[in-house]
Amino acid sequence: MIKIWKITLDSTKENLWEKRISTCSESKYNGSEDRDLKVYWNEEMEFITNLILPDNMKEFVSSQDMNMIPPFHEMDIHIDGHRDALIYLPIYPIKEDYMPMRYYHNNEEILLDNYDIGQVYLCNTKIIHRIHNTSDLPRYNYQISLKGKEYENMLYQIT
Amino acid sequence: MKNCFLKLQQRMLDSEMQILAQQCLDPNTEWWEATDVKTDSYINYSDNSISFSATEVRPDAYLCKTPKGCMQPPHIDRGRDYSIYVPIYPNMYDYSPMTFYQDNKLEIIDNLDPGAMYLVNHKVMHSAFNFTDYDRFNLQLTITGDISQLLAS
Repeated sequence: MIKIWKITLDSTKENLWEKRISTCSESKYNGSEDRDLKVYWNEEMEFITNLILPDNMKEFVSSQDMNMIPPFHEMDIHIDGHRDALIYLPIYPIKEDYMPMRYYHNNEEILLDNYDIGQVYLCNTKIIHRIHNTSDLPRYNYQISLKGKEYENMLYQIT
Repeated sequence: MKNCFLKLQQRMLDSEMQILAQQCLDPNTEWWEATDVKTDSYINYSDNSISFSATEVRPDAYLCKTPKGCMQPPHIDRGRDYSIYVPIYPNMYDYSPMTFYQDNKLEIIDNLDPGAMYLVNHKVMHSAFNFTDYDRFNLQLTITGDISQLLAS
């Protein structure tokens, strides 16, 4: 036996990632923070969707992506305009290195992190949230966007 | 009044604003760092920092400095309920606003009206991200006790 190469998420060719600037409206205030998001999907990832998407949610799927935020980049505070909810699987890094998605709801900060590895979440994307990848590692997660019903209705349907 | 802040009728004089700005930018002004800074259980290379200095305008007021590239992530103040808040420097679009997270909306105090004074509710979650090219300064006067008199005036 001989080790020949190691596949990591970084192995994905850079030119295959579709670059998306933060979906939130540009701030009128001056600032220099890097805002960036990259998404990528190919048919080989379909198995992830098959693993984590409940059957009764299939009719609401609008897109599916591997999602990457580079080191020291952020998604500024925003509400998603293009989807109602989200099936969300944090992937890499893990534990304290995965900078959480931060929700601001009822005067509290609610964190969705990757301490519980493999956990899949249904997320309400109409609550203001932000991600600031302040680590020196790229941050990956798999997202299945849902559209057509409010989060509360999807939650009722899924539980 | 929004739950998070109220723009007051009273204003700082231009001369007072000039004194404050000079004191903020004076290299001899001494600043001390906050000690009660929140930490969480994630790798975080960002700089959560704010520092303070006594003012020459009022003995019970403090100048607050957020250096460029630094921030105060969203938080609720534990040590106080209200303050009078005056953005000082920089002004207009270079001043990173104080942002409140209320009822799934963002409410902001900026410095597009230099000299304006605000009554701020520090029990509503708020933050400041100074990713500009300038250090950021404001004046904060902590209010203790009943604010109904202040609101009535």
